[in-house]
Amino acid sequence: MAEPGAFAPQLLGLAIVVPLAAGAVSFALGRARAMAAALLGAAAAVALAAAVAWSVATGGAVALDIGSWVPPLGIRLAADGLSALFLVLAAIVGAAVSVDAALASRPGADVADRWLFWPLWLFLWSAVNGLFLTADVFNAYVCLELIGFSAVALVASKGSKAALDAALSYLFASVLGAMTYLVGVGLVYLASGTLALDALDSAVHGSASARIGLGLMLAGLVLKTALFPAHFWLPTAHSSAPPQVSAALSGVVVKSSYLLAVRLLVAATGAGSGPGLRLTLAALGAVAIVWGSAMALASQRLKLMIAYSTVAQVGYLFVMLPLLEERAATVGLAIALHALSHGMAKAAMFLAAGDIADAAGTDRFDALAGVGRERPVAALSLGLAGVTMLGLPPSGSFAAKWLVVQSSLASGQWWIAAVVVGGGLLAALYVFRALASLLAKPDRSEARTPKPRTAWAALPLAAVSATLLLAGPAISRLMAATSLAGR
Amino acid sequence: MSAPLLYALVGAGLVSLGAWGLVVRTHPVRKTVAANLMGSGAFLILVSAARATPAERPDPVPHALVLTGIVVTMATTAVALALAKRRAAASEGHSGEGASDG
Repeated sequence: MAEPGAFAPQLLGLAIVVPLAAGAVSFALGRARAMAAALLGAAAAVALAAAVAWSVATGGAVALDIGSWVPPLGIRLAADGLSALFLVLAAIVGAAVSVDAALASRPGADVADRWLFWPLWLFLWSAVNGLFLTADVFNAYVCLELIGFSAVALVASKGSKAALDAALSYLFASVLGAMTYLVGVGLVYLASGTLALDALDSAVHGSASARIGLGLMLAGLVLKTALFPAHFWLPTAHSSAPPQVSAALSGVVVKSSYLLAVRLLVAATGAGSGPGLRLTLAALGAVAIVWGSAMALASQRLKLMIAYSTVAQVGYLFVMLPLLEERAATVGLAIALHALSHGMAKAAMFLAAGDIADAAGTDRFDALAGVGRERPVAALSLGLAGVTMLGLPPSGSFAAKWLVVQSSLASGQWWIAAVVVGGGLLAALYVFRALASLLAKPDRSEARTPKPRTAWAALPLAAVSATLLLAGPAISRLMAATSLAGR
Repeated sequence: MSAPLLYALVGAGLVSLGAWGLVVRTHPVRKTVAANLMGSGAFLILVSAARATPAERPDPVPHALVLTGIVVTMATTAVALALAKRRAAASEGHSGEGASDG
């Protein structure tokens, strides 16, 4: 009789294999039954994420050596509190995206090949879970590429010229990032003889080739995460994809490469990822907040505005990094809170924007006057998600900003506090501008015929994000099983 | 100059060339070629890592990595060419919402 918790390591493997298998089955079943199979797989993926989170919360970090091959030769999967929380983020956003896509796919939908969404979406989910869980830098490269392939195909799925252009530019940016990362992996292996994330620090200490390798790996991840100035591919890719795809990309995919970047920084604290590197990343993050917000404000289209807002919100995730070494626990919690609440809110915004564009026939602001009255649920979801973008209580991003401001003032890095607070004000401008145009008096009344679809999936997503502070104790408990302090 | 170092330097050169092409070129097929170039460079660096240690036999791990990498690069090439083909078909069509060739 196995003791309770003995099965926990297997959950990590299942969290990757189950969505992958469900995607393959859904593809094999074909058009008629792809959705049913994919929805079953999605439900299983959600249950597995919850199970992993539960097991980490009750029994601490979990690890699985695949096939019992131990590192340095084998590949290890590991989940601490942060991985578990990111799995949960993928599960919550994934559930909403799946429900929204199921509601959107009705007989006679205009896109013939849309059923292919289901297998691709589950492949993406599987790859993202893989990146959250892997403790091997080469395995992470494979996950990055798998994420790239499925995401690119999903972006292209509309088949329009604009969508194909966006997909191509996304693909090449993604390949450039992944290849840069791979060269970095090669150099680090050359110096250290290991691919295990947790063995990097001692192995690469003091070696020039390892430092360059680490820099290249981070550069690749920065490109994948769309940190300014490597964000150029994101606005078109995220704004020209179908709404469910945009939601998954902005909500979860950019966070996956971010998580790996944080792991690398932490793993190699003693070997070249010192204060200088973190400060550089933070400075880029600060510029990203200002630039992304300004471009969001200047956007003439709702989805483009939301995509630029992601550029800004990614900036927050990097701007807090210099504080990580000194206050690992607090800043780790802030990272988790911000990634979770932004991921959910941003996914909700894209789903709601899809509904609004569906009602208005376009997402250009000048044609959106009054659409909020026709689509109150979508407008409400956008408003609630706006609470997170602004960082108002009781959203998770409020708590994250609070922790970051406190830590930055305590450690004398006041400029971080200034950027974080200022960024909230900029977010207020673009969020209110979008809401104002949606709730404005309509130009013409009764001109549009309402279509039978509502953004029901967006509303709970936005609501959870806006009240994430209520889940604070659970999140803190999970983060207690996480160490982001360098060795 | 030792052979592994030569391989690594050639690899670095190929990576730089490929990266340059990926950034500067605009045509999707040229970018695809550049991505392959960059990939080959990365694989050369990895293979040189297998020989760099003064052990008697080369380290098999980088070779396994390169095999995986080759599969991934082939997939990249396939996806890129398929998209480029679709894109070309879409611009031949008269409307902006074409590309229903599938």
